[in-house]
Amino acid sequence: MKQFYLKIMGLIFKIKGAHPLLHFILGRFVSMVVILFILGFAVFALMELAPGDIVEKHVQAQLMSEGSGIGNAMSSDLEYSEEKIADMRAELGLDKPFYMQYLHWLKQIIVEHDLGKSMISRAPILYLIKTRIFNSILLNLISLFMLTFISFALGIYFSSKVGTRTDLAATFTALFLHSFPGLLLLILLQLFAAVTGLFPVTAYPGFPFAEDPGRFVFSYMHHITLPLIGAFLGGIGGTMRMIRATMLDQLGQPYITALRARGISEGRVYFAHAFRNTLNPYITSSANLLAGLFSGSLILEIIFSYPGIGRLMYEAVLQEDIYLVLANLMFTSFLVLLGMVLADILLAVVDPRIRYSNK
Amino acid sequence: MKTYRFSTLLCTIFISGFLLFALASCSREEEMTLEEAQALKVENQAGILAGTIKKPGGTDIYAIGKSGGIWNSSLTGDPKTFNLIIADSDGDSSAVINTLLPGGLVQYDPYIKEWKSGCADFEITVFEDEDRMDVLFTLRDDLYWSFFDSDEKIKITADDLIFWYDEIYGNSDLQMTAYSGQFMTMSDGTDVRIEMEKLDDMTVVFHYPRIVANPLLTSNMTFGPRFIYEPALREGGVQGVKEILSIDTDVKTLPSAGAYFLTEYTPGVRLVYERNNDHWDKDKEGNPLPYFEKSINKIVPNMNTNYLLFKNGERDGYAVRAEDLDDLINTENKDYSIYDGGATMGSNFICFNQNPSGLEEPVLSWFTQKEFRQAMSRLTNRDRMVKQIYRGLATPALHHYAIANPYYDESISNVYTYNPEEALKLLESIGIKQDEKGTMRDTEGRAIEFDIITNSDNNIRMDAASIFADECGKVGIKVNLTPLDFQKMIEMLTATYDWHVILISLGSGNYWPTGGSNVWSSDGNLHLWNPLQKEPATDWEARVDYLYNEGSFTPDPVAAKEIWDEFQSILLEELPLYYLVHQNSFYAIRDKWDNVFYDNLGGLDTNRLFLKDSE
Repeated sequence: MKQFYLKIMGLIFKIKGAHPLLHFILGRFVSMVVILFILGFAVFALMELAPGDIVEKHVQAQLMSEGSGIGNAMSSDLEYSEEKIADMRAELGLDKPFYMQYLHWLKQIIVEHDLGKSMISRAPILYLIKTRIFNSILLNLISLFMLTFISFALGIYFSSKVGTRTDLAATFTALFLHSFPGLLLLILLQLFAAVTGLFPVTAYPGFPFAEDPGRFVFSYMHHITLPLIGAFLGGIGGTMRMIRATMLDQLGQPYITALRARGISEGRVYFAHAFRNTLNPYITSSANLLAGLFSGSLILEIIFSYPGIGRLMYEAVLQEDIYLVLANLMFTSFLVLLGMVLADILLAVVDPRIRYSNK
Repeated sequence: MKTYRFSTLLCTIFISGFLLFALASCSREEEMTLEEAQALKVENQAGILAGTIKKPGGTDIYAIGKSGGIWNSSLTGDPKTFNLIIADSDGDSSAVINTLLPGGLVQYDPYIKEWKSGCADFEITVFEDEDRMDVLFTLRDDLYWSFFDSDEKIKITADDLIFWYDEIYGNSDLQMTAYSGQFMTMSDGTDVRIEMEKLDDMTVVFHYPRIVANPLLTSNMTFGPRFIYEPALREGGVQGVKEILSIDTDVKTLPSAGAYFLTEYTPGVRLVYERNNDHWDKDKEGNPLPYFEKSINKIVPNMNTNYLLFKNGERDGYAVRAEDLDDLINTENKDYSIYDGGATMGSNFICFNQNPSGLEEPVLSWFTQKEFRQAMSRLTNRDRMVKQIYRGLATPALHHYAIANPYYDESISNVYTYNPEEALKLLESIGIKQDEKGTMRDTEGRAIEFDIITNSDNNIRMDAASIFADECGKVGIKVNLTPLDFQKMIEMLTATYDWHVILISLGSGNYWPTGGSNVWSSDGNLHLWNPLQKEPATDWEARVDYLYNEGSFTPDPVAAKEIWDEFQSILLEELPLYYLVHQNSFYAIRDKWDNVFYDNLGGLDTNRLFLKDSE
């Protein structure tokens, strides 16, 4: 055992010496696993503390919907006995302490490689997530790239116009968009689509990809145009303001004055020096961007009926489908942690001052 | 300078564009006060109804149609399973799966208030000497489970019914809602199961251990494909049968004995049905129903989006919300018509808590006096609710039974309608009167004040509760409106009992006299005002219990009418709860469809719609 421990430690030090970045990434992944474990434990504990459970809510809802109802088919007025409720709890494993439920859930994932089943539908959670995750990733990646490139371009452009009326107008517009309620913006966009007929009021084609792939791609682009504009307008204000402010901060630094004094062209000053340094705060702040985009697209998915993971999880929360909610929480937390690791790696790539080395 | 101009132009275009777009999406009507808007709406009521069509349905009024077309519709939620057992507790899933089932053994015709054959003929035999009865069902000969794109057919026989009744509905471990309906309470208080027996391949009989008023109500059933569920149950037991036909099952493999095959399910996007030509239900000339060949149902959870889809022509039918009615009627060059279905059967009601374990004095002693409850009904201004909340498109709810109920009687109604003067007299008769400042006080000088709860997410209920509180306030009774989360409210109703007055609704109204046994019986778990009583707390509740029991076991319609007349009269006199308003319902449908009949008794029969000749 001791030898095994020493071997492992030796290997770790060897990796640290030879591949410091790899060592750093591995370390972050290990800490990610530990954090996810604690997070899952906390979620189960919190759900234990919350009053009521899925069985109680189900019984109450059934009671209210059946009471005094039509009473056709074979259904009669419900009379839930304590035994029946206890049986329902036992069947879902809710009769065990929360840590046992958590350990059972972990065993299911690690040993059986199964995310479990939805408490309500008994459908495999993996299947439910698989059917929607691609749609969410696709929409959010397009949105992320669009937002990043355009906000960088505008941020840099308007920073060169500082103090002018253009800059004032741009700052005002950015502030306005930043403070405009996202939900209202999406509703307005949808109304715009309905009034003009230029765009569909939903964000997904009305037929599957397999039916006609070529037509689907064009239809998809048409359908997501408005939601993308919504996501773009909702995010551009904040990002553009940050880029502009960072650029201005960099442009005021002594090294920029020195570069200009040496006769370096203005374009080179902007793009080779000042711009590069704006990446640092952007990358640091964008660690949450991936997870933020997923949670942010929730409203978009509901309003525009986009078949993404946000809508699935929203319904799961409403129905208190714990395992499905938990899978979502873990997924979002994983994205946050992954975003942080990626941000650290990118920082090391773009900023020579931050390098993981054995020196 | 040039750059400055260009940039300014760019920014101006950007801001103007956004503002223009925002304005284009908003109404351009001039603002008016709430009162003015309200008055205008009431004036417009006649205009609104003039923009709708009344074309109620009925027995055998449909024309012979022709085959073809696609029906475009939408659903608000994904199905969560294709397993009938799991779907038992999920409305979205049941709605999807039920289209693949053969339907009920019998059907109730609310227009003529009689039962008629469904996928079986029926015969009721009463053995008065033995105080028992049999209900015999003979299955149609043309009932099959069919498969999409295949000639394979599996005949449905009595064995299907026996399996489904005994081993699915009758399996206590499966916890189906139909389970408790298989038992009948005998006169000695014991529960005896209604047994089903197979007589031949196509005939089964239900043996009722005692004579009941409406045996078809409890024996009517639908069923799933035995050839899938039986092996699963034999091999995997209860867990095994719950694991099959999950949402990841290929829908094209699902058999159908109903009007459709489910041919596509794209999660979150759409469901596609195609007509099952083997379905037993055909028109008078033997043509298969439905007439349209395909039905595409988009999954759209947001109601506003659903509305816009209809406006844009992407849906063929739309159950109109009150807030959309004006816009739909006033649209120019519209290609749809709006049908007025009349008053809905269900209604919100106000209920006064009378539970000593949840209510304290003096509220308990006020609420337990019937004169107090009658006075409250006298202070409930239903006409004002009709005008202010429903814009005149509703009817005061004064009857206990829904109009489809076989014992609905126009003459038996709530006589305690809005009349504040009569309310004051009723209150005075129990010692409650106004002091010199106009505050209502009881015999001990305590000011009359109580809370009314309703769920905060329902604007209509909130408005109705506000009107009630306002009317009470006019005579010096302080009513505090307390909006609550729905789950919290249900918890108060079923567990803590610590509420004063509630405004809520249950199911779809009193469709059957024997419906709502857990509401009207004093030992019922949903006997809202004082549930789970060991012995009836009042004489009138004891009488209601007796009549409910007698009526449930009296098949003779003349004798039963007498019982149910007294039953509803007591409830309308004692008013443990009283109904408020029946809202009108409207349905919009594209003009390209023919054979459209719509009302609240039968709804819209989409299976009979066919495309007009011009389409």
